Amino acid sequence: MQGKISKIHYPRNTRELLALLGKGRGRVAPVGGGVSFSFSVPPKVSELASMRALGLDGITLDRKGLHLGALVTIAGLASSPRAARFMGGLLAGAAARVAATTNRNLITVGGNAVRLFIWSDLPVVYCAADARFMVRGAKGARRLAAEQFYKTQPLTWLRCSEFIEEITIPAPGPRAGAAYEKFCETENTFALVSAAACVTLDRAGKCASARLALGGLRLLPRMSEKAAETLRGESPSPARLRDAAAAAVGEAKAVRDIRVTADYKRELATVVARRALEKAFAAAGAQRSGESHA
Amino acid sequence: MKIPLKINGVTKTLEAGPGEILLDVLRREGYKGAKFGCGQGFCGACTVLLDGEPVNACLLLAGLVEDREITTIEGVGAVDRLHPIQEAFLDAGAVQCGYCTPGFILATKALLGKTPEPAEGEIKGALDGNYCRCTGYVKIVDAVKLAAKRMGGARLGRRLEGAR
Amino acid sequence: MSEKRKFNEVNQARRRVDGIGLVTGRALYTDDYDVPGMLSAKVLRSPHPHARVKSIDASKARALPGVKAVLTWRDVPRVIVTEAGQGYPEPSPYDKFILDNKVRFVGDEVAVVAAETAEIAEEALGLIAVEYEPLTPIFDPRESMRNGAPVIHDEPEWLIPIPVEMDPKKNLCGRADVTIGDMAKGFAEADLVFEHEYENQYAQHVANEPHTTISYLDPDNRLVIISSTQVPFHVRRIVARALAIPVKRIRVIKPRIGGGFGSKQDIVTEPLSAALALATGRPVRLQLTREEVFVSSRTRHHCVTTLKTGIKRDGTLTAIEMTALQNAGPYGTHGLTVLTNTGSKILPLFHCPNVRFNAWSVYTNLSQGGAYRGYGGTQSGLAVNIQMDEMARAIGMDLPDLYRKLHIRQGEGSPVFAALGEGAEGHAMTINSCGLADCIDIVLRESGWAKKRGKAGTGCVRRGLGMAIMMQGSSIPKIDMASCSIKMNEDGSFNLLCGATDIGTGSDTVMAKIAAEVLGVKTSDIIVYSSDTDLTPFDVGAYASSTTYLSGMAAKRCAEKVAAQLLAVAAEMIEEAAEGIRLEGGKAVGKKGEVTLARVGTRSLYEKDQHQIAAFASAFSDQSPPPFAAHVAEVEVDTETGRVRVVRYVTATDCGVAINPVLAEGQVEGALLNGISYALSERYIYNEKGRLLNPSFGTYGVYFTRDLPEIRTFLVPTYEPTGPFGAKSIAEVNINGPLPAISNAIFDAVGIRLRKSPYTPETVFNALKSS
Repeated sequence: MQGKISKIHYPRNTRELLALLGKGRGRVAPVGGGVSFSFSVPPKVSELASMRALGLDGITLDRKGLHLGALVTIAGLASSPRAARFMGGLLAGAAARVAATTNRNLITVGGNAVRLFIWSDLPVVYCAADARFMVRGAKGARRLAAEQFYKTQPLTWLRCSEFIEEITIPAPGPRAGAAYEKFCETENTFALVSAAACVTLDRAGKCASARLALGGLRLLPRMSEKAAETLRGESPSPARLRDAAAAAVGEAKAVRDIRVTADYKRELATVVARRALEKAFAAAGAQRSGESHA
Repeated sequence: MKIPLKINGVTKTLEAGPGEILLDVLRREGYKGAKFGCGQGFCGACTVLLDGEPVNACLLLAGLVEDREITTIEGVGAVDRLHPIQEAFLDAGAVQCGYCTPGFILATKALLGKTPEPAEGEIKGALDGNYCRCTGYVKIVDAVKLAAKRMGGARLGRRLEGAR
Repeated sequence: MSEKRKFNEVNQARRRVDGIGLVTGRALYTDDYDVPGMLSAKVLRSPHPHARVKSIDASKARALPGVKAVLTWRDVPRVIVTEAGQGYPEPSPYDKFILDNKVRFVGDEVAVVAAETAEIAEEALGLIAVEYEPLTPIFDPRESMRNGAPVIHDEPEWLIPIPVEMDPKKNLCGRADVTIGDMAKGFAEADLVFEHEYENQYAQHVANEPHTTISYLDPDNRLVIISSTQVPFHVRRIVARALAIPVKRIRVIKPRIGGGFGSKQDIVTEPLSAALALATGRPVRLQLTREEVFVSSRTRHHCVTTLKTGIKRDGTLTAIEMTALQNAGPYGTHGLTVLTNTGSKILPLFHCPNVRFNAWSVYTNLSQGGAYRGYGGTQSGLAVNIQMDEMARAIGMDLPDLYRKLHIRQGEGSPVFAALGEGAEGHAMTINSCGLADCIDIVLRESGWAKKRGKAGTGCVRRGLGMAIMMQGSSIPKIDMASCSIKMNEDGSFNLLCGATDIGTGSDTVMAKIAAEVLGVKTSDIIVYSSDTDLTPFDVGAYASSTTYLSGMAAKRCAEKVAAQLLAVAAEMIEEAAEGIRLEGGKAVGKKGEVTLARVGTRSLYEKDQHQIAAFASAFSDQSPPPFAAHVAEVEVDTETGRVRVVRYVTATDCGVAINPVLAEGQVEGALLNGISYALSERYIYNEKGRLLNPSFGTYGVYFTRDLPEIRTFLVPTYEPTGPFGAKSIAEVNINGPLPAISNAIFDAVGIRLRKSPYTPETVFNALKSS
């Protein structure tokens, strides 16, 4: 029972939703699956506006990339044939590792992006893949890069009149590879650390670009500029990837986790980051050899 | 508030407070096959099907399921005519204390509806939100395979019947 | 099998008798009972590990609309009890008031509220003003007996109802010191002496159904308690004492139970729920949240075990000295008996002339220990089986060969049986059935031991194999009693009423099959009703692996009495002597003719010399025949992260004749997977103030389907002559194997010896780094 919730609205379209949010001045929260509201309601909120009638439950794939409607469920993303085709199934694969089936069928992409936990999977992937968030408000839409979106906790800066409409993951260039790695003690406990890597190779097989994001060290995903620098223009040799992973974890402090020490988390993050890089470069390498055969 | 929806194929209007959790409302309405296990969406004792997919009724605000279709264990099989999945759970020894059983059967129903011949990994993946301490899951996985085999056999039988 | 016999029902595949209700979701668990006008109860719990309650003011809470009662220690009888659901007199100290003016762990009960809704009750908790005087806590059992340590139980009412050594002033709530032979001589004769400390961690049973009790007053003002319990008759007795009301005023009903594993062998939610029903005159429901189950119900005892073994180069043991320091937590429920079982459930397994078991159970201000599947055997199984591996390697012997050389066999006894029992001396026993040699052969063959052991491979993921052997018991000899009644109906069916408490184990089915076998009918002709203190005869309940062996024996004896009565009627009908008539296929079959049991039943009730064919029978045993098992675990160790995965696990178990093979296998597999996750991930994490930090599925570490390794289960048939149709127990034994088998497998893979569980990734990583 969430005694604080006194009303649920069912707006029929974006205009009605925006009107409700505007009038609510923080009292009304937009809600997708509503999972997080079942166990915690933000301080000012006492009414909910269901986004279900807005038609935001589509996944489309075009030249620009993969577009995820905010109301797509995590299970829907995990089983989407389009998502499976995109970036070697990066998004679909990561979605399949979010919590468990019974949760994935409820949690929506939008809610999952906004309600951030230290063990969240997809936000790490969004950062590595340079995803764009379409945030709709009364005065129109604004597009934010994932790094901006997760610069601080979304719930602290999102205006009460705004909601997430869509997340777009840009189509990668040629010779690209991506991977998501996650480490849990058991499959259904919260992850200790995770890492997502999106890389491209040049024609010579050297690293053209590398984006590496780490999860689990602190609440917000941690993008590593140092890893990118370590790799750019270099051959992705095992030693180089090890250096890049070490650089990424670098001096980063891990916040307290009741289950393990911060030192172990850092060691673990280094291994997981390196494995993500290895898989991403292997995928990019396979693309490149496919290219040269063609 | 009034919440129009379908439960086990029957159109209903549930009376519930806007902050009420679906599990509590269902149990109050007599659908006691959905159990309270953790109240945090981990154990799956409260599993129901929402438009055919297994979800945690303990994580759902009742007001957000309006116009949707809920299937509870009460809507699967009947005491005098068990569903093949229920038969398989009994024959394979997949039922011990039974507290998790409705959830597992519903998750299995959703799985076999989409994937009639699941591989072992697919079974484990589809049932990953349901906790059981009694069986060690071995017999539950066996039961899903047995149900798939029997239901596949029945489908084949119907097809052959139709071909004649 | 020493008695080869073709069974009709026993050992045959049959559906469980209660199956339809379970698969259709119609079976009623405690929380499924609708009692009109029911109130919800919530418990106020201590934020301090050790404190005196200086004052409690509940006036604001009582004034909250919708609140019907608030009880504090002032409002309940000041009667000291033990909450251990054991036979009377309990071998556990009486050290608990259902509400007290002293709290002894974070989560201890301070007050309880009954209100119209759970939300109001919850709100009322926040309105109770409590002033505490914090006392110095003890978080390490090694500190409990130090001079000047804080005294956790200073209440003058403290008592222990049996003559054993305990001393609350020293925080001592259990003691055992037993020596067989001459230890000095034994160690002097050894070629090698090994001595190490082993330690297992706290863990919770995590039954899917949280502890739940509904209490109400019936029209005759009797107190009815519907509860998720393993021990209805003990609940009746202990609640009567705690609330100072007569036993005859209480009826305890056991509905369906959603798993127990020992956690519901204690009186956890019953007294407070019942006290509120008496206080309000209204039905009261008290259900623990999942967090409360972790924090405030029961756990596996944390234990530090020092094991010293003398061995000759040929593998002969010369001396074993086990020293155990058990952390009982704040109340001594099961402390002493788990302690003595720590010795008695493993020391008889090995031939050794000189044995000492020297052990203490002490109070601390951490979580409360209790009964947990394995019951001490898990704690000592860890120490002994790891040390066996260490010794086998040191003398250059293959571990299974050492086991084969040392393990007890059919026809042998062990002096340990007589020396060490349930909190006191035990009873001499000879092993009448032992399939352990076959169990060992099977797990070696099926695991590929000879081919795979010692082949760790190279690279970052290494493989290893580890082994363990184990035993348990079947009931507590000369203490446990089970009984049963059966009456015949006119259609040839039978009502079987028993106190045996099916908590999901399938014991109703076991009872039905045994009775059906005797009466020559189908299992489905036996209608079982179990565990209602007003209606069913006494049984101690579901614990100590007693149900199949002891309650099953009661069912068999009872059915035999009923059979004699119905044969007498049948003899008249067929006109031949009863001695020559067999019961089979629902008929009494003689040489001259046959008659259906429906005819016999109808005649006895309606037609001639009318009488009810019915009987009672009890079972009581001076034996506790052990089931035996052998395990091989195959693991993968990721040397970069420290993560250990069990990839394959093979078990073979001798449980005598399996009454219901598929359910017996289910007992093996359930115990096993619980043991595996206990070895690798399940644990309690406390902060420095004694607060449990991970009372949640998200951080605790039980296994779900994606964690499931390949498991292969074998039952090795033997025939236990003292058991019903050759049966022994199976419920507990297999939880004792994974701790040592997995540790031994990790050693095989990466050469590190882990003597403290669990083997979490970080533990293994750190051990690898420092090796």
